[in-house]
Amino acid sequence: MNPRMLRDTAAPARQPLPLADLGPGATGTLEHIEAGCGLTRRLAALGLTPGVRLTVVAHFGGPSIVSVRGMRLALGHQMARRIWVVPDR
Amino acid sequence: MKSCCTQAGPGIVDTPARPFRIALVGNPNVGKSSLFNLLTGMHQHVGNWPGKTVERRDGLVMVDGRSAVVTDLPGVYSLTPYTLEESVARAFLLREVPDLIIDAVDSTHLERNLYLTLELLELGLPVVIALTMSDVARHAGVRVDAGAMERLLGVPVVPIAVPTGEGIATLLDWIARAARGEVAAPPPGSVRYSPELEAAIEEVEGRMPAGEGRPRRWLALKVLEEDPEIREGWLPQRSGPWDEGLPALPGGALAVADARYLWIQQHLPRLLSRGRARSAPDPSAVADRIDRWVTHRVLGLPITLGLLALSIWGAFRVATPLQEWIEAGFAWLGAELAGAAGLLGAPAWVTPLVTNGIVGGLATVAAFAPLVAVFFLFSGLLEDSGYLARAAFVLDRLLGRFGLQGRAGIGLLIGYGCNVPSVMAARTASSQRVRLLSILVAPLVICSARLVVISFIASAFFPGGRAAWVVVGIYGLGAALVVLAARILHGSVLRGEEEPFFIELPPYRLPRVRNVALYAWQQSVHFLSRALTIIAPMTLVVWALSYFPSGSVETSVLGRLGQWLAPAGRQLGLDWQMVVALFTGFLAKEGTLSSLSVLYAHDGAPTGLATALRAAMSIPQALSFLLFFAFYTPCLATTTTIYQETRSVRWTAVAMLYPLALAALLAGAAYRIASIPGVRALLAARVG
Repeated sequence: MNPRMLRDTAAPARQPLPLADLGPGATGTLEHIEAGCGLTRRLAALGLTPGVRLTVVAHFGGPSIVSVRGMRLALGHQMARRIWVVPDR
Repeated sequence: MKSCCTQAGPGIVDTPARPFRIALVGNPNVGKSSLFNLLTGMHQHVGNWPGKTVERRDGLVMVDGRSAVVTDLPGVYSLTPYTLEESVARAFLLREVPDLIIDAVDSTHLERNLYLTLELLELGLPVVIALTMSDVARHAGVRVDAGAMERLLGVPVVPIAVPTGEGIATLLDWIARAARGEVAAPPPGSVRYSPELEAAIEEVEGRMPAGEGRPRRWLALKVLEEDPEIREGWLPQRSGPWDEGLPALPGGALAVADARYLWIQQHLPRLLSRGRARSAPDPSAVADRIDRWVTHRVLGLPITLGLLALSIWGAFRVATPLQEWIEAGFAWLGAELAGAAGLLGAPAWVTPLVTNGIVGGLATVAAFAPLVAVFFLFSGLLEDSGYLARAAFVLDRLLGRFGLQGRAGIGLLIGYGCNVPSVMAARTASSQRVRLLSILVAPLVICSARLVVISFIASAFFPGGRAAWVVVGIYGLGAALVVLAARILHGSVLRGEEEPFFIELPPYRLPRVRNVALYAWQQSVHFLSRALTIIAPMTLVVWALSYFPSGSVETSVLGRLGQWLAPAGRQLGLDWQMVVALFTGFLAKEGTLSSLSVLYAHDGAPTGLATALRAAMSIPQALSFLLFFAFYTPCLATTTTIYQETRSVRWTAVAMLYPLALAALLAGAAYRIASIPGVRALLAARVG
C-alpha cells in the first residue's frame, strides 16, 4: 500500500496522488503534471489541463486507463506516475 | 518540393494550371480516412512526404466538372506538433497553404475535437467542418446542432455519416462553392478568450515583426504557447530582439490550452442536446467490459499474442497458395521465354538470363505481394476495429523496460511473418530514437521465409520430434536476442530518456471493408513499386555474378568469392557452397534452399536435398549453418525498406552488419561446442 494513500485517509486535507496510485473507479481533479514543455503541451492539447475531472477506468498496478473529457487515454506506468490528481472523497 | 513562398495563398487561386487544393484535417480516429476514401474513391495516391517517411495520401475529387486535390493529413491533436506526423501536417498547412480546410470533427467527442477546430479557425483559411460519426452520435442519443455550431464558429458545418453517405452531397456542394471563391476565411479573432489572454495576444501582436504572411493572431498564440519552432523558425531573426521583455503569460502553453478548453466548455451546452439513446446498452459500458479483459494484467498479454499469432497464421493460410500460383506462373513465363529464345537462336547465356535473372527477380517481388497485402489487410482489420491501440498498451508494459514502445512491439510481432512490414510499422513510434531502435532490432525476428529453410534443415538432421525443438530453440534465442539488442542499443548509441507512453483508446467498432481493403491495396502497391525498382535489378546483378564469366556457378565471380571466403567460413564450419548459399539467401531467404540444391544435388540425384545435405555436412556444421542463417544480414527486401525508412546509408549498414557479426559469433560458438568430442557423440547418439 502506498504510504501517501494511508496518510490521505487519515488527514482531512486532500493530498494529490500520482494517477498510478489511484484504484479503478476512482475520480479526481488533475492537479499538475511533472513533465517537460513538449509533453505538457501535448497532454494539454489532449485535454489534460489542471482542474480537469478524470475517472480511472482500469488500473494495472501502474499503467492505467483514464476517462477524461469524454475520451479514453491509456497511460504507461511512467506516465501515470507523472500525473498528480486530487482524488474525490 | 513545392515552393514555400507566401504568395501562393488563396488570393491568387484561379490560374487554371493550379488545381484547387483541399487539406483534410482532424484528430486521429475521427473517421477522417473513411471520409477521404468516400470522397476520392480509387483516385488516390500513396507516397511519402518529401524527405520524410510519413505516409502521404492525395486523392482527386470532382466538383463542377473540375478536379480538386485532397490531401489527407496525418491525424493531429493540435497544431503545436509533438510527433513527426504532426510536424508534417502543420508544415503542410503553413507552407503549402491549401485553398480549403475540411476539418473532420467527431460528433461523439466534440469537446476534445473542437480544440483543433479553434486552432484551424485562427489560420485564416476557408474552413468547412465535416461533423463525422453523426450516425453513431444519434445512436448514442447525442444530437449536435449544426446550425448553432455554424452561427457560433462562423463556418459551414455538415453532419456526415460515412456508411449511409449522409451529408456527402452537401459537403461536395460546399467544396464547389469554396472552389468558386464563395467560402470566406473566418475573420481573425472570431473566437475570443479570457480578457487576460486577449490582452497578452494583443501585446505580442503589437510587437511582432510585420509581413510574415501568416495570421498574426495565430502566430501570437503560438508565441504565447512557447512553441519553439514558431518562435525561432518562423519569426525571423532580422527583426531583432522584438520579443525581449515580452510579458510572460503565467502558465504559458497550459494557459492557452486552458483558455481554449474553457471556451469550449462554455459553449458546448448550446451545441449539444441529449435525447434518449436508441441502442439499449451504453456502448462505452460495453467497451469498458471488453477492455477489462483485453487489457487485463494477466490475460491481456496472452490475448494480444494469441490474436497477433492468429492473424500471422491466417495471413499465411491465405497468402501461401497465392504465392505458389504466382511462382508457378512466373516459372511458366520463364520457360516460355527461354523456349522462344532457343527458337530464335540466341546465345547460350540468354536463357538463364531471362529465366533466372529477369523473370526470377520479378517473381521474387511478385511472390512477396500477397504476403504483404494480407499482412496489411490483417493489421488494417485490427487497427480499424480499435483493438490495435489496446494491444500496444498491453505490450508496452512488457517492452518498456527495453526502451521499446508498445506500438513497436506490434511491429516486431508482425516481423514473424515478414520483416518488411515490421520495419515499416516502426513509423508509428513517437520519436526518431525509438523508431530507429525498432527498425534495428526488427531483422532479428525470424521471419517465415527463414522458418521454411530452418525447419527443412532441422528436420534433415534431427529426425522425429527433435527438429521441432531445434526450431523452437532458435525462435526462443531470436526473441532473447531482440530484447538483448534493444537493451544494448538503448543503453549505448541510442541512449535517450525513457519515452512516457500514452495513447488514446479509440472506440471499438466494426471494421469497414472498404477502408481495410483500400489500405491494404495502397500499402501493397507502394511496397511493390519500391521493391520493383531495387529488388529486381539486384537479382539481375547477383545472377550475373553467379553466371559469368564461365557459365557455371563454381567458377563464376560469386563461386570464386565463396571459395575466397571459405577460410573464414571454415572457422564456423561452413564450406564454400554454404557460403555461396548464404550469399544468395541475401536476395530472398527462401532462395537459400534452391541454391543449396543447385550446389549439392546438382547431379539431380533422386534421393533429394536432405540426403545430399546429410552426406555433405556434419551435425556441428548443420547447427552452425542454422544459427548463421537464422540471424545474419536481413534479406534484400528488408534492407531496402530499412534504407527507405531511415534514409541513412550508415544505419542501413549497421542493420546489415551487426546481425552478421552476431550470426558469426553464434555459429562459431555452436560449431565449437558441438565439435567437442563428448557433445558430438551425444548429438550423434541422439540423432541416430
